[in-house]
Amino acid sequence: MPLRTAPLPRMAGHLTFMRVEQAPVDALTTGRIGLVGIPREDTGTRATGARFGPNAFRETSVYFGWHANPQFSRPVVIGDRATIDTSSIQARLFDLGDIPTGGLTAEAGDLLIRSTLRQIANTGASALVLGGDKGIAAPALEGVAAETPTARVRIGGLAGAPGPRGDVLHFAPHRLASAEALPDRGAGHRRIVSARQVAGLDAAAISRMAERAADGRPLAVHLDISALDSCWHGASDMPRFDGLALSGLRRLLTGLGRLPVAILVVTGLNPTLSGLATVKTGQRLLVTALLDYICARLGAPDDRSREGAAA
Amino acid sequence: MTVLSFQPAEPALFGVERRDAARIEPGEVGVVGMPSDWTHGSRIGTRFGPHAARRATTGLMRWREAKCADGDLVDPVAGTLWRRRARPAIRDLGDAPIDPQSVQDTTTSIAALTRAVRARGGIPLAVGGDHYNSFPACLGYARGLAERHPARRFGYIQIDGHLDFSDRLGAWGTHNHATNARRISEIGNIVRENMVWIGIEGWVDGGDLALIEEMGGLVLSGADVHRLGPDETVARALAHATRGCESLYLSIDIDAMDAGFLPGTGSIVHSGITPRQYCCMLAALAFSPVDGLDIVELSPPLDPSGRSERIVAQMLEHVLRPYLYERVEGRLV
Repeated sequence: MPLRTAPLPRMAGHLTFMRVEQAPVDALTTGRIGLVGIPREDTGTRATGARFGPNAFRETSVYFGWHANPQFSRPVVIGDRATIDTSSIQARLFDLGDIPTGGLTAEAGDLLIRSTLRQIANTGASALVLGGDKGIAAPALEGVAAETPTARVRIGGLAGAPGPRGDVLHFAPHRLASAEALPDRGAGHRRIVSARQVAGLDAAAISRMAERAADGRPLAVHLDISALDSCWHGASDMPRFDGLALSGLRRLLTGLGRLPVAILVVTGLNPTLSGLATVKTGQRLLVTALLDYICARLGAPDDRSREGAAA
Repeated sequence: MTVLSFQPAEPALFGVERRDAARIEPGEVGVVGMPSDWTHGSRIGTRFGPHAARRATTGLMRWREAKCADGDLVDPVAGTLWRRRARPAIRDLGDAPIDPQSVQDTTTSIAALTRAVRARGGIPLAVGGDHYNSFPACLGYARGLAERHPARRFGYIQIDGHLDFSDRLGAWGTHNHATNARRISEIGNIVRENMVWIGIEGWVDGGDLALIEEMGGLVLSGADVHRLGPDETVARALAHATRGCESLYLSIDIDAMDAGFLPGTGSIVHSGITPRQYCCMLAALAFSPVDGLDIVELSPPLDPSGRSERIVAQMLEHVLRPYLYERVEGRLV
């Protein structure tokens, strides 16, 4: 006998991203998104807590799991009155759970991340990875690249820091380092696009730019929360005041999501920083942007009509 | 010997006089605290809102007194001059008794106070508390209005990040922070087609939106405020809400403000209204036929920096301007 007849509150029940189905890797196919969490961090940093990131994303995302709650009818984006059909998302987005890196050495953890992402890439599905600190990005991207050659795109992070070879675009780097600090300058196709420049681009222009740079390869995208301006959140240990606004990040992820993307890795959300409110702000902000990416990636019918709202 | 001056442990809103509801005079604002957050669905803390609002507004007045010794103030946006009233037309009634175990009893006690204020010709200002408490505040206002002006009906403006028009919400049922506007729409002397929402953001329930538009309500989104500007937004809202009505109830949910500016609230939104836009709208509404209002969803524990309560103090100062200040001839040149 059920204990209650009313629908469960959104925060109750089994936690998955947007209340989608939890599924094994072999449920994935081309045209689907497989979401994994990697709750790992370098505990030697100034402020630890990024290991709580995956579940922080999931907890915030349940507010958007409308399909799972019979008390709501269809969602409408109020800014432009666009109706969203979340059922088309729910049928093709699966939460695989977390990669169990706890207790492993860094090397063993990297190996596990690489092999897991390689398996996901092998299904033809697009991987959506929720970190974790930025240390998880390299093995995750490498795991996918081992299966299929990709064109790497970075959003946020340090411009002057050595990134993985093969980056073709770097949006909104944290600090626009001197030209000398850019190891790839002039050596390949890498192009720096500042947050201010992103503000002047619509999603279509971003798609065209990335498509040219990718040269036929699927994208492998690493988004670090340091891309976002700190006036919008307090959830990163790297404050910045020349970063992206939500609207810019939404256009960026929409533009990239319309192209073939093999993997999107999100890192740097630290839900233990700065008190509940600012952290919740950062979480909600990122999940709002991720929804645009998911809609664009899955070709949700509302995708293009939402661009006006994002702008 | 130095004369020591103490601030009350529980200051009144803007440091005004305390008064019993039965002694409110016509034209005075009667402040009712609603320290209740038991009807919020997730991130609570708004039960500390009334105290924080009183603390922040009293601090704001002390600052004004210290910085403007002659009592004159300049509104640099409008270019107008104002003088602090020696005796603001605002009285603080204290808090309504709250029973966390009984939504019904809490509803009754809040409604009794706002009813008493409005029935005497006063303007009830209810300070929350989560947004559910707006329903009992408005219910009491409506009953008081019916006593004083039996033939009069009222329009309604809600500034909010959310519609709050659900009929019921999961385990919380029909009386909670997502159903307050729906319950208000069922009050006998409201003009439902005169209901207006300003500042709505993000995903809303399509069924609720359709119901609002079918009944003739007007929804102006946060994007509309950015596009139209605060003055035009308020002009359109007032034109809709006051059709055939001499009275207007205003519900101010602070969560319509972008969470980057104001994180101390339970249900945050992004790309919302900026503090300047919000204050400009409230300044315009201060000179409208509003004769009952509430301000809700300030949750001090969610913003240890305290800036949210200070922003709320500024918002209240704008919407209560005629009661705190009087216009001085001349303009800023």
